[in-house]
Amino acid sequence: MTGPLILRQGQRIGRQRFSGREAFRSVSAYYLLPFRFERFCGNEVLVVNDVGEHLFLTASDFARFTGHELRSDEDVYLTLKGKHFLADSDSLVPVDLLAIKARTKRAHLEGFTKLHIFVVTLRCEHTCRYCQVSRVTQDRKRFDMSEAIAHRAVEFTFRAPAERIKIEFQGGEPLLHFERIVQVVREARAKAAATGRHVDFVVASNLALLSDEMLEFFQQERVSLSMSLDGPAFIHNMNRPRPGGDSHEVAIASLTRARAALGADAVSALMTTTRLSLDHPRQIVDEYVLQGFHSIFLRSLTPLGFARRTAPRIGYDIDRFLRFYEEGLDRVLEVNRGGYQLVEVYAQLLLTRMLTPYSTGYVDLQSPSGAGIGVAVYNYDGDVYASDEGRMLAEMGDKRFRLGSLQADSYDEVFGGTRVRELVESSCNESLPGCSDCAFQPWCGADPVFNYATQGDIVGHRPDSDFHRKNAFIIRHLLELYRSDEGVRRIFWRWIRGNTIGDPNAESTT
Amino acid sequence: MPLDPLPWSQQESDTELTLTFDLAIYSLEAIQRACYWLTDRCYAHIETPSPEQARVRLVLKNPSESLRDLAGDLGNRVLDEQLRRQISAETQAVRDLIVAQAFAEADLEESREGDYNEDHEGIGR
Repeated sequence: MTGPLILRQGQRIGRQRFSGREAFRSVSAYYLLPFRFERFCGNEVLVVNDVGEHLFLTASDFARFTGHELRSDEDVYLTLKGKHFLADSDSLVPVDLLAIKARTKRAHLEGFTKLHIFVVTLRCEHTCRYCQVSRVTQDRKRFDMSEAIAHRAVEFTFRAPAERIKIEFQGGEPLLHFERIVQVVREARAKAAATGRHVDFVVASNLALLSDEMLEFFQQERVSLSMSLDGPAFIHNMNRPRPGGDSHEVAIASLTRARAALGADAVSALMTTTRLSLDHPRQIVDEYVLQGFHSIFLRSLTPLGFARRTAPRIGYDIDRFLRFYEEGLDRVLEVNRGGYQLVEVYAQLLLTRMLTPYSTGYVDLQSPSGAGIGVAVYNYDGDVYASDEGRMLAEMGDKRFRLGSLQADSYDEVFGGTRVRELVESSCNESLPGCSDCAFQPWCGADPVFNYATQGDIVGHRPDSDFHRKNAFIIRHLLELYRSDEGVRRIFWRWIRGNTIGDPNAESTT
Repeated sequence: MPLDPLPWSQQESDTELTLTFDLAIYSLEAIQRACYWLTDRCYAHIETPSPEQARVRLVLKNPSESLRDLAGDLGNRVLDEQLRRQISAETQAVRDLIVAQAFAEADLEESREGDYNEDHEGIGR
């Protein structure tokens, strides 16, 4: 016989009683569902669909997949079909399922602004080297939020349709203006009760001024605390000078009292990484364990405000930070292997986005960014900003992210105006240059304020972007860790479950 | 000893090279997107001397970097960008359908007559 034989079921050729093997092979006519891809070393290709489900394929399987050459009886075909990378019938079920997942992934958009930051004062008794905004001054009138502005800010807060609202007090040092905290908590409680909503409160503080009277109020009103802890005393005190040079000792003493009054879970801690921190990731992680914390957020320095001015002294490039992050995360995993539960918060946020259908409320890991729609900042002087970083830029004289004024503008003008719309349009990473084709796009976010501060443009330039560099590196690193070790997988899933059992959609900047 | 330049690139100087792409194989959009990702390492200029060809000129920002690596990276990136364009074209209709379905219940502004100042949801009240 010459030429190719195409056998169909039931055909008989010559004396052959049964058809050949090819006759029983499923005909594979499939179509591709939307996805993006990224090549990894080791001849592997990562494919990620629009709702963040992912697979690693060999380069050969990837080429056959995109060339429509897979057979329907192959394992890789079934896996791709099961994870919604291809479909092979006219059924709309894959579209329906993907639509549900797409909606779930964007659940954080529902309810509009959930996080409301009240800058009750700009005054502070610390002179932190990286601080963007604080003022050491006795001029209360000039840098404290007035009663009228606070009242108006509470009104704005409850115009947002969110069922669950979080109010965060910041400064300066907010405890320097405790009476304004009391006013806002009481007014917000009354508004929440009247409108059937839930409101949570958190005070971001160095805790140095925490008095028994304050603790009693926080206990009554179930206000939680977010303290600054940059690491062991030699790092913390160097980063956070105050008269006496004892910021660490004072903070830890207050932490003990706060936990006794409010409960262990009511106090969390935040660290900022300076150049000094970079050589001590293990000591910083160990300090968090020593102080009994179960989460640590290895955060890079925000290149804004005073931090930008002092960058030559305390700053560093992003690659140096990423080495620090890698070492710090290694230590966090070691601690977990030793039986102590410690979550690295940025990894937890990314893993939740990578491995579950849920969205996360972290402002900078959203598309569109949470600036102006997930978070609002009410400054001490009545100005409203799209994010805390936007407020910090304003303190440097650049009011690019000022949305309006509590005194002069209506809610509609502030949150429905061109500034907010421009921010949203410029922070959908589905359509941003460089992001739109990136395999990590469904897991990542956009940060227009960071882009503007570092590159002078809210859209940003991805090849030079530290935001891109950081997230691309960390996502790759997490994928490698996750795939390399069963023990790491178990730890990561514990972190994810802890996140999703809580409220994954609760808005946060921390 | 420096490696020879890749045979399909034309080295113009120690810091500059030219690559020519056949537009029957690669789309201009794929070439543009690939160049975009190299703009942290080089200055890029694209021109189409004829309807069949695109010519890309790259000038290194850092003269110590390898022109050969740059040319190789661009060639490989264009291949991937071309594939991305094909996948995108093939899946765009389904992607639109998924987004439309996902937000079908959302009260999108475009679906209304009038503008947001009319405050349909009563957010400002």
